[in-house]
Amino acid sequence: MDDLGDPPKINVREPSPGIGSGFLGEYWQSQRSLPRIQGPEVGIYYLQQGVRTITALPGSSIISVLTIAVSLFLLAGFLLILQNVGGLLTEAGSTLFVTAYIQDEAKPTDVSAFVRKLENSEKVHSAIFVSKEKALELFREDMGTRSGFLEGLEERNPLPASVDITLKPDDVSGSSVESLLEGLRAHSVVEELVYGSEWVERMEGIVKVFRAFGLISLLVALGIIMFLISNTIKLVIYARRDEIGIMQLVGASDSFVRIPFIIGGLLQGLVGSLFGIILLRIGFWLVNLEVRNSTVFGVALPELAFLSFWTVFALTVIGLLVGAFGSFFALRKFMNV
Amino acid sequence: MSAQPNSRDMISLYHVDKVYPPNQMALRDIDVTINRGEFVFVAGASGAGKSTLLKLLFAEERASRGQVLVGGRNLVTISRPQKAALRRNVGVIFQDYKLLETRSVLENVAFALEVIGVKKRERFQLAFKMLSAIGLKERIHALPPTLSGGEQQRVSIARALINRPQLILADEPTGNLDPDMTIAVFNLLLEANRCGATVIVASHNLTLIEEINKRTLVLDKGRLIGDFERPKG
Ligand SMILES: Nc1ncnc2c1ncn2[C@@H]1O[C@H](COP(=O)(O)OP(=O)(O)OP(=O)(O)O)[C@@H](O)[C@H]1O
Ligand SMILES: [Mg+2]
Repeated sequence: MDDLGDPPKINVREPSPGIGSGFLGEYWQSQRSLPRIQGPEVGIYYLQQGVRTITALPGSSIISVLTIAVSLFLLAGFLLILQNVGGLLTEAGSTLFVTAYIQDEAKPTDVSAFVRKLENSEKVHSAIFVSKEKALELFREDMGTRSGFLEGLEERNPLPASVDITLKPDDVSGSSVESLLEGLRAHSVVEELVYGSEWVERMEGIVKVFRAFGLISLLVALGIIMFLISNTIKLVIYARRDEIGIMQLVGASDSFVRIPFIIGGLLQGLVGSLFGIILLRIGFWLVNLEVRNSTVFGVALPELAFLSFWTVFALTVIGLLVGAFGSFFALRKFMNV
Repeated sequence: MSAQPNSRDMISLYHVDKVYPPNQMALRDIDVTINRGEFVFVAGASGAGKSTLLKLLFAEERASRGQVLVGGRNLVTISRPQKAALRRNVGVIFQDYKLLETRSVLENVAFALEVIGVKKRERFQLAFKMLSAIGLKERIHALPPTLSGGEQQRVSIARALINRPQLILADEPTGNLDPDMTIAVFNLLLEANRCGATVIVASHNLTLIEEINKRTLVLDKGRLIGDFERPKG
C-alpha cells in the first residue's frame, strides 16, 4: 500500500523547513478586506477581458472576423447592386421616348389638341411638338457643314412633323404603356409611332423580378449569415469550453464568464463588418472607374451611388449584433458546470 | 426530516446517493455531518467515491437522492448564482488541477481573487506571496502545460487557499509530490485549518492519514464503512 517509503514526520506545530514562511496564517488571520475594482474600472476590466477572448485564439478570431467580413461584404454588395440596378432601370425608364409622326394633312388645331391631351396625361412626362420646319432645322444642324445639299428643301420639306413623348419612369409597366400606345396609334393625326416596345416590356419584367428576388435573397442571405457566424463563434467557444468550466468551478458567475465573450463578439462583429464594407467600397470604386468610361447603346451610364451613411451604419450594427448574439447563444451550450 | 442547519455544521449529508448516468452507482446512502473547523480525511480505494463525495460539496455534481447541506445551503435546490457564490467560499484542490492553460501561474492563482473583483495589484501581490510560500516563486510566469505534475498541483493548491475560504476541499492534494513537498503542503492545510477553515482531504495514502491522525471517513464502493475520530487511537 505504502509506496512512499519511510513516511515523513509531520509536525503540525512548527513551520515546514524552507517553504511556508508563515505568510498564510498571517494573511488569513488579518481578516483584511481586499480592495475591489468598482465603477468604471469594472467596464475597463471587462473590455480588457473581451479583447483577451479575441487575442487568446488569434487564428479562430481571424476566421470569425473574416466570416463576418465576407458575410457583410456579400450582404452590402447585394444591397448595393439592388440599389444601383434599380436606379439604372429607373433612369432607363425615364429616357423612354416615343415619337409620334404627324400626318402632313392633319389640321393644326387637331395637332395642338393632341399635344395638350398628352401633356395632361398622367403617364406622360412631357410631349413636345416638333414642326416640319423645326425638324428640318434640327436635321440641318445634325448634318453640319455638309448641309449644303439640303438647299431648297424648304419648298417641299419631306420631313414630317412629330411629337416627342417622354413617359414617366414609374409608369413603364407593360400594360399601361401598351394601352397608351394603342391610343396614340389610333389617333387620327398620327401617321406612325416609333418606340422600342420589347425593351419596354422587358424593362418592366426585370424590375419586378429583380425587386422580388432581391427581397427574398436578402432574407435568405441574412439567415445564412447568422447561421455561419454563430457556428464560427461556437467553434471558438468550443475550443475554450474547458476554460469556461474551470472558471465556473472556481466561482465565476455567469455574467463574469459571459460578458467578455459578448464584448469579444461585439468587437469582432464591428471589425468584421467594417472590414467587409471597406472592401466593398474599394471594389465599388474600381467598378465605378470602369463604368465612367463605358456606354450602353451609345448612352453614357449614370454615376453609380454607394450605400448611404445610414445603410452602412445599419449594416455595421447588424454585424455587431450578430457577433454579440452569436457569442451569447454559443456560450449557453458550454455553461452547465 | 428538517433541513434546518445547525450553525455548528459546515456539512451535512442525509441519505445521499449519487448515480452517474446511465447506472454507475458512485455513492450509496451517505449520512455524515462535519462541523466547522474540522480537519477530515476521506479514505478509500480507487473508485470508492472520494472525488464524487467532494464534487457534491461544491455542486460540481448533484446528488441523485438525499440532501446535501453546505454552510446552511441546500445544494440540491441551489440556484446558479448561489452556486457561484458558494464556490467563491470553497477552495478546491482538484485531482486533475484544472488550471487555465493560457494563463500564467501567477494569473491562475490570482484568478480566484479575480472572480470576486479584487484589484489587479492586490491580487498579484497576494498570488506572488502564496506561490512563494509553496516554493513556486521562480515559475510564476510559466504556463501550466510547461510545469511538472507536482508543480501544477501546487499551483492548484495556491489558488484554492488564496481566497481564505471557509471550506477547503483537497482531492489527493499531494498525489504527485515528493515527501518534503508533501509535508509542506500538509502544513499549509493544517495552518489554514488552525485559522478556522474546515478542511476535507481525499486520499488513499494511509500512511499519511495515520501520521496526521485526524478524523477519517472510509469509503468502500460508494458506502461509508467507517468514521474514525483518530485512526491511530
Ligand atoms: N463522470 C462520471 N461518469 C460515470 N462514472 C463516473 C464518473 N465519475 C466517476 N465515475 C465512477 O464513479 C465511481 C467513483 O469515482 P470517484 O472518482 O469518485 O472515485 P475516487 O474514490 O475518487 O477514485 P480515485 O482514488 O481513483 O480518484 C467510479 O467507479 C467511477 O468510475
Ligand atoms: Mg478521485
